[in-house]
Amino acid sequence: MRKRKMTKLLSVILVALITVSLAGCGNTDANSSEVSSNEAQNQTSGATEAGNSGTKASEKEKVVLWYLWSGAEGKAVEQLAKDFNETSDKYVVEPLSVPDMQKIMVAISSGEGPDLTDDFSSNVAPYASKGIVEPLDDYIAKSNYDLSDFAGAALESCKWNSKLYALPIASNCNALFYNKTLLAEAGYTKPPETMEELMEMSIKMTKTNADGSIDVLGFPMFPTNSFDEIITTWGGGWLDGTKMNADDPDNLAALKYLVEYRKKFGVDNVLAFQTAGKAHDPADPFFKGKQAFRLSGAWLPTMIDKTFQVDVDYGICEVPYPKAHPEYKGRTQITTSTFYIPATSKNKDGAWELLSYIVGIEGQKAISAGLGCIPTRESLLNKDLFSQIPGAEFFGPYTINEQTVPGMSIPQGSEYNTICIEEIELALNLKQSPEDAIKNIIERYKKLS
Amino acid sequence: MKVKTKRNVTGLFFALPWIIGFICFSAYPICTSLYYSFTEFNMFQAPNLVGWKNYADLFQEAKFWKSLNNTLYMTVLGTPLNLIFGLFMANLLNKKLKGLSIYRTIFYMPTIVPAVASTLLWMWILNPTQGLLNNALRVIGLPGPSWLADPLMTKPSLLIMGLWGTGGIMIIFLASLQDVPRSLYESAEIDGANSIRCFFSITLPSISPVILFQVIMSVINNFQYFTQAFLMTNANTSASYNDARGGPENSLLFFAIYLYQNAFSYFKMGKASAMAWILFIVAASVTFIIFKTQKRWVSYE
Repeated sequence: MRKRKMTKLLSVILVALITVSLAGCGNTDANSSEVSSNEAQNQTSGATEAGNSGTKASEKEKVVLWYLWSGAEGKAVEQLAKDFNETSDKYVVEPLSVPDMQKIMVAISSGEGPDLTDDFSSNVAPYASKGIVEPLDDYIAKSNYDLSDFAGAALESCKWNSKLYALPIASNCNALFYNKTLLAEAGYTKPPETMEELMEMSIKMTKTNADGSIDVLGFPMFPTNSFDEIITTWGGGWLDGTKMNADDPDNLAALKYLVEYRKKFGVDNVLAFQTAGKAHDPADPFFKGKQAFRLSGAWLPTMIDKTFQVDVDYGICEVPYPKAHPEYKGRTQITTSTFYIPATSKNKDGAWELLSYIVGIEGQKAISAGLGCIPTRESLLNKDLFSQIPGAEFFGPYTINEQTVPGMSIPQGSEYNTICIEEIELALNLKQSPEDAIKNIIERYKKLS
Repeated sequence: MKVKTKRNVTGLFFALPWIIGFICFSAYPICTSLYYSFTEFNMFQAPNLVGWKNYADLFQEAKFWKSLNNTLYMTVLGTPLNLIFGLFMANLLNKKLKGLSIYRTIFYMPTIVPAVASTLLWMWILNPTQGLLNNALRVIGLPGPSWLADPLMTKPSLLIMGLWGTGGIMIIFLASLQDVPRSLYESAEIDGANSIRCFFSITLPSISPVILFQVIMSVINNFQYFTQAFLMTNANTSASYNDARGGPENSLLFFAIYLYQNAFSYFKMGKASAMAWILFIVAASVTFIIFKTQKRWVSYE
C-alpha cells in the first residue's frame, strides 16, 4: 500500500514537471522574446549611445542590424549605423557583427533574429521560397524609392518570381588577373583576349619540376577550378534566368576545354598544387609569383595592395571569350552582396528605413570605401571611387558593361550548386567523361524537390 | 507522510535541475526530431507530414550510402588502429624507466590540443609540397602522396591524424595495466613464459573489460566523425558560410557532414532528422552486437 502511494505521488510530480517544462520549451511568444530583446538592448546599448546625439534611445524605435562582416569591415558597418542614428529622428540602430549564417538563420526561424541583415544574391530564391524574407515591392512603392540608379544586373539578381526580396550593396564578378613579370618572361606583351590564347599562354607559362609537379601554375585553376566563370564567358551557365540550363552545349564545350589543361600536366599534379597553396593568405601562390593567371573578384586588389601589401606586379583584364564568339567579349556574371528584411522582423518599417539608407548614395559610398567593394549604384562608379579602391577603375565599368549576366537563384540553388560541383569534379579528375558529367547533372537536377 | 516517501520526494527535488534540463534540452528535442523525420520541414514553414518518404528517399540516394560507407571505413579501421596504438603506447609507458612521467606527459599532450587547432596544424603537416610528412618521405627516397587531394588518401590522412590524439585511450589503458596483479606475472615467469606469452595470456584477458569500454566509445565517436573533416574540406572555401563540402570526390563526406549539409545548406530538416535517427539505430545496433560478443572474450575475474 505504502509503496503504491509513493509511486502515485512520484508519478504525479513527474507528470506535472514534464508538462511545465514542455510548455516552457514550446513558448516562443511575446513574453520570452521581450525578455531576450531587453537583454540584447542592454548588451548593445554601449554601441548606440555614441550615435544618439542627445536623444534618449528609449524615445526612438529600435532596429536590430546583424551583419556577417567582422574586423575592420565590421567597423565600417558599425560606423554607418552611427551615422544613421545621427540623422534619424525616429529610429535607433543596434548593430551587431554575427559572422555565422547558421546562427542568423536559426535566430530568424525562432523570431529572435535581426530586423535587417546581409547575405548573397545566390540565396534570394532559396530564402524567398521558404518565406524567410519580406518582399520589398510594397515598401518601395509606399516610399516612392527610386531604383533607376541601380545597375540592372545587380538589381535583377535580387529578384525571384519578378519580386524584389533584397537590395544589392555590392556587385561581385570575376575578371582575369595576370602576373606581368611572368607574362614578360614568357615573351608576351599583353594578356590573352580569347580562351584559345589563354590556354596557349597558360601552357607556355606553366613551370614544372623534374618530377612533373607544378612549380608555377599557368591556367587559372587555383583556388577553385574556375568552372563557373569559364562557362559564363563561353556563353553557357548552369541557369538561364531561373531555368535549368545544364544541357547548354556551351557548358560541354567549356568543360572539354578545361580538361585539356589537366590532361596536359597531370590531374595529380594540378590537385597537389591546389591543396598545397593557401588562398588569400600571405603564402597565396598568386602573391608569391607562383601563379600566372587567376580568376578573382574586385576584392583581390584591395587584399594585395592594402591588406597584405604584397609586392607582385599584376594586371586585370576581362575574362577571355571563345574565338568563335567575339560577341561574348565582356560577358561576366554579376552576383551581389545583399541586405534583406527577415519575415520575422519586429520592426519592418524601421528596417526598410535603414535598408534604404544603407543602399542609398551615402550608405554605399561608406560601405564601398570601408570594404573595398564595387557599389551597385551607377552614379557612384566615378573617379572619386576609383581613387579610393584598388582595382575599381577596371571593375567599376566591367560590372555594368552591356554583356553582364545577372546571377539568378532558384529555390533549390544550393543543392543544385553542390550537384554541379560534384559532377564537374569527377570530370576534371578524369573519372567520368564531360558528356556523362552533364548528363548526370541533368538527371540529378530532376530529382530535386 | 512516511519517512521513506519524504526522503524520495526530497531526493527528487534535489534531482530537479537535472530532470528539467534533461526534459527540456534532451528529451524534448529528441522526440521532436523523431516527429520531424516524418515530415518535410525547413525551419520556417509549418512541417508537412510525409510518412516514411524521407527514409525511403535516403535509401535510394547514392550520396547517403557513400556517406555511410565513409563513416564505416573510419569506424572499422579507425577503432582497432587507435586501440592498438593506444595500448602499445600504454605498454611502453608502463615500463620502469627514468623520467617516465615526462614521457607520459609528452604523449598525452596532443590530446589537450583542441580539435580545430590540431586539424589546422595537420593540414600543414600533410601539405603535399611543403609538409613535414612528405619532406620526411622524400628524404628516405619515397614519393609523397597528395594526402588531402587524392580521394584514396584523404581518409588514411585522417586516420594518421587520429593516432596523434590517442592520448586519452592510452591513459585509460595505462591505468588498467597497472591494476593487473603482479603475482600473475611472477608465477608465469616461474613457469617459463616469455613476455609475448605473458601479454597475450595475462595482460589482455585482465584488461578485457577496459578494452570493451574503449571499443564502444571509439565506435560511437567514429560514427559521429565531423569536426576534423568539416575543417579540412571547408578551410579553403571562404566564400560559402553555410556550406559543408565532402572533400575530394566526396571521399570525406561522412554521415554527420551529409546530415549537416541537408540541415543547414539545404534546410531539409526532415531529411536531416531522419538521418540522425538512422545513425542512432545503426550505432545502437553495433553497440548491442559488441555487448553480445563480450561473453566470449571479456573476463571480469
